[in-house]
Amino acid sequence: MTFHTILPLEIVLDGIDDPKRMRRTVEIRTGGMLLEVEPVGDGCGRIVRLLDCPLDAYLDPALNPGNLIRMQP
Amino acid sequence: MSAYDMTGPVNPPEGPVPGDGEQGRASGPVQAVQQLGQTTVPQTESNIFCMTIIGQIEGHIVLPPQNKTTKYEHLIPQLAAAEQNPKIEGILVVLNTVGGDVEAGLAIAEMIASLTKPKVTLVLGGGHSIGVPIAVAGDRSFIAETATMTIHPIRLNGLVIGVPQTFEYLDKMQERVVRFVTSHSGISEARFKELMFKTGELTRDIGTTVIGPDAVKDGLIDAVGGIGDALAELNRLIAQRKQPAGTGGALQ
Repeated sequence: MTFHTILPLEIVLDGIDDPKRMRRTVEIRTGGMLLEVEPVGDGCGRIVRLLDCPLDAYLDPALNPGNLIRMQP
Repeated sequence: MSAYDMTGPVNPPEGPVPGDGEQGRASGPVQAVQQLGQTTVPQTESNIFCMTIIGQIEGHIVLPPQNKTTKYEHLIPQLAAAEQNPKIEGILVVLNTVGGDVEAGLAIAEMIASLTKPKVTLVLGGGHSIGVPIAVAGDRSFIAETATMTIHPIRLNGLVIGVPQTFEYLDKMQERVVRFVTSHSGISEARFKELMFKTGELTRDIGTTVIGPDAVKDGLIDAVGGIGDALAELNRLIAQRKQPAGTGGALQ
């Protein structure tokens, strides 16, 4: 893995060895799709990536990484 | 449901809701807010897909959360979906990136370059480092007057072995970037390398920061412009592509 960025790597990678600062994610299946989400409390999760979904789901702005979705109880 | 799916935009329940009166004739999005309580109203369908490349381009390693990242594993199928979806006729790529993973950046650039649909790129703010190949990957590229692009060599990171092969490997990696940029833009290899290895310009590195009009002067970017120019050009390319063969319409 090679970085080509103007930001110093010590800033980019700061905290990468600290498990407390890295995201804890879970996989949930919703609407026929398998999503990796980061639970943020109150039954909501932040989408990290789509793992299994129809191709058109990638064009749905509501399913972009970083968006909040309601997780099933 | 996707705003671009084959069944069309999300529609509110058909027919007026009992007791709805005048509201039964309200427009679709208004109905959605009233009846479903949604603040995210259905998107008006556009024939242009806008892709944003923001912050760090994340590759094989998940970056710590202080980074704002663009995930290549989302962008790649997104581009495949845009190429496949018949409702999308053109792709607009908007960049404001500080660079990131070489492999991921080149993968995105290659994907954009190989799309058959018209694609236009626009650099706003910055298109640095590995953002440069992405910025030149479209059929036509624009840069905002105040936007900058930093052209500098790839640095070594991780486990470095002090042998000549390490330098050769790095040189090969760099050559991939140079080759892509020079074959997809008007800049010559000699000029691009001159900018890349210039000393005295950057405080912590060697290389050059080119600002909007300078990028155009060197042939790296096609024109200085904003969102209006980029969209007008994309619409022109779409119209040109729609012209039947033999009437002067050429693909891209």
